[in-house]
Amino acid sequence: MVCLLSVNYIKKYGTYFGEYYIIIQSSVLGMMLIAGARDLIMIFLGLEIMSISFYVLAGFNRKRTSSNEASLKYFLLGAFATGFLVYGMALIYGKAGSTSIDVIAQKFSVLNTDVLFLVGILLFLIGFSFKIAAFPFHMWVPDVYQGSPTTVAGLFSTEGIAAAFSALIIILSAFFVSSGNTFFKPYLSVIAVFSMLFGSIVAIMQTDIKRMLAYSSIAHAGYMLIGLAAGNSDGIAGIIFYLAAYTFMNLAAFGIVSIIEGENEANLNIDSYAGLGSRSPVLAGLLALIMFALSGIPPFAGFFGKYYVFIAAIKADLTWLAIVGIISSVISIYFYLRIVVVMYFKSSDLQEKPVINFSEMFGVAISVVLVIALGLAPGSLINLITTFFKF
Amino acid sequence: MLNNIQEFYSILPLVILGAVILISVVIEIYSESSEKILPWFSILAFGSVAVYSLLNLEQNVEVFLP
Repeated sequence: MVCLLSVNYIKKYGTYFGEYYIIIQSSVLGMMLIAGARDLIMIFLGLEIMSISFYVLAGFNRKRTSSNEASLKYFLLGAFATGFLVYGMALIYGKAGSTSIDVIAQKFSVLNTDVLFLVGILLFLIGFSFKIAAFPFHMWVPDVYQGSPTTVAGLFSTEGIAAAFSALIIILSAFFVSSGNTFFKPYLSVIAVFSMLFGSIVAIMQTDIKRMLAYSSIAHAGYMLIGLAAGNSDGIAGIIFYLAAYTFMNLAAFGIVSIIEGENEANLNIDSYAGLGSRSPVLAGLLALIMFALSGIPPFAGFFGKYYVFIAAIKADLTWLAIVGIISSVISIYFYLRIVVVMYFKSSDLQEKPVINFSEMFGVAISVVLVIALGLAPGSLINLITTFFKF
Repeated sequence: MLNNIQEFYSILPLVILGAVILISVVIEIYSESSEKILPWFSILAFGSVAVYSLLNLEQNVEVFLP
């Protein structure tokens, strides 16, 4: 999807190079290694392949200072987080005697009273909390998403977070089975609450649409963490469904932003979307639909993603967490629907119509169709998840 | 390491993607219009890996078990 959206986008900034696609392929290889790993070293290897590709992609608009800044910021903070991760892995290995997740899970009930082992797990979670953009490890997100090329920001906010969550699901679901799933609830619940509320409240004040979508990504990471905090099979299934829905919603959002974006980062202010409903009805309609989906309004996929994780939290006696999630969703409706209001109810002197190319429109259309399909038939994906993913 | 051919099929998407990266690098080095070829080559590669993965969901991917 990102490749489809990028075909014409990268021409705008004079970065029309083949290396762009090779680096995206490398990042996807890293993501697949993470998702398929059963060993801590493989998770680390996949994470680094993905992260280094991302650092390069963030700075791909090399003639723009904002892109260089985003790349450097992402690299420095990412390397720092990886340090936490590796130190945590070292402590876990030191106590468990193995980097195999299955072996660690078998020994978990014995090791979970050992302070060094618990510190290792905590450091591991902190390292991945950075990667999923959870509060308080979210500081890099707005600047990196704003400075990076828009299609690359779409890649970061969807596939990057999905890969990091897959690693967390692999690790924590193995431990849930052996430990009775109450062990990590406090940490995950707290960062879920702060991520949701912080992301939603700060997004209200944003005037740049990419920064707004960055803060909304932080809030969505919080919603997904509710599923992890629940620690049951419903929670894990809910996260996987949420990731699928969120991926297509966010890719469509960033795709439409990239189409409307002009040269030299023009038209990224929310006020520049004024009158889009009359200038480009198709784009405005699609963006409005995606904003409704992101805010969790039925019958789109975003509603069912939240529904499944909230139900999982209630079943795990975390009703208070579900209530906070609902409050955060209500807050988020303001900044999502503000875009719709600006597009349709504010007039503008701009007469320029965005130039829409086939590949970009095709990419956005596929994403929107899937968002609607997942909303109309959520049970099909949930049944697929529960059939093939055994917890 | 791999114990049987079944494990190879389970990591085949990774192998395909690795081969795609190598081929893409060769295209980038030797072709003057690589920026036109590579987007569609990438899309084709990702699409085929996605379809293969969806058709083989029942296999768990276990990478380099000791």
